[in-house]
Amino acid sequence: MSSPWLLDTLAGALVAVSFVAIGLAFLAQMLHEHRWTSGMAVAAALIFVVVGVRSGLNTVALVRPGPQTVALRAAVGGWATALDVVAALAGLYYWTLRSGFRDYVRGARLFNDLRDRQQEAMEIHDNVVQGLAVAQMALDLGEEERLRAALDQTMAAARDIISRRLGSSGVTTVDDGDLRRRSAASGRAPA
Amino acid sequence: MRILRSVLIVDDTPQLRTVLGIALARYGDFEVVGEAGDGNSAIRMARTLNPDVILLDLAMPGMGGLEVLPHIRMSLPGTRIVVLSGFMADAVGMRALELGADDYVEKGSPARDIVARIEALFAAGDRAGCSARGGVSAMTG
Repeated sequence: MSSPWLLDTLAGALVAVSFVAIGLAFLAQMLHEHRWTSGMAVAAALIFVVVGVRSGLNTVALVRPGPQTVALRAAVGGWATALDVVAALAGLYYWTLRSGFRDYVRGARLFNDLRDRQQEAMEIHDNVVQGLAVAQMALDLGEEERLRAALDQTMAAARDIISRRLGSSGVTTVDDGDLRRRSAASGRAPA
Repeated sequence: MRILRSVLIVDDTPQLRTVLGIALARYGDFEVVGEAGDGNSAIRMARTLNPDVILLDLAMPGMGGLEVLPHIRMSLPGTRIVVLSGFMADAVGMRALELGADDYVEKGSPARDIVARIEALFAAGDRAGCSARGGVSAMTG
């Protein structure tokens, strides 16, 4: 392009819009879910907003009529413009991803914070550990019907948890290679 | 004459309450006098029933077991409270004991062992600073 400042202006405007929108999307979701305890998500949201606003101010300075604008436009180009273009593409790419992984990238959930982990642990406890405890006790007592019922319920609960976890991560189809494990299931309790 | 100790089972999983009741009757001298599925019901039933033993789960709807413990301990200083939980003892066992539990047993322990742990609490005598009540005192004296 013969006028790098035009490219820089366009890229800067895209960065401003997309980054501020990303930050506001995070903050809106946190507000909706009352999840202000996720400091990492709050910090990330502020970073996006501040960088977006900063880029917007630069863009305004490039298009605003004034005696310093010509000198400013002349100084634009090179690596600075290239980085602005990359940032703009990254912002646009994020929004295309967000539509495909809607649940996974929701606000603070982008950061799997301590509360998320606790909730997941509690769900496994309530649905799997409790069921296995019933099964083990039924086995001790020779209560075969109760044992079978407990195992059936626990198996169903475990499958449900796995399905929902995969669904919430945006995975809707399973490719052939997705089922490859890093190592064989040992069947032993973790050390 | 066989004297049965009264037990209140507090757990939000009905199937677990059932198998615990079977184990207590089969392997020990216990009688389940009540079952509660959440923390608030546990406090209410404990005060009403005044059981010899309370088997208390930790993760429950409403009030959790760690919240329930101080209320029951304050109301019933002589009752044995055994926390029976799916969480590993390292994680919350010490906290449960600090809040007034007499013992902490992980779920998944053999049924006989769970009952034996409860029996052992009575064999050790009255709770420190408390006089046992009714038929229990006659047995554990």
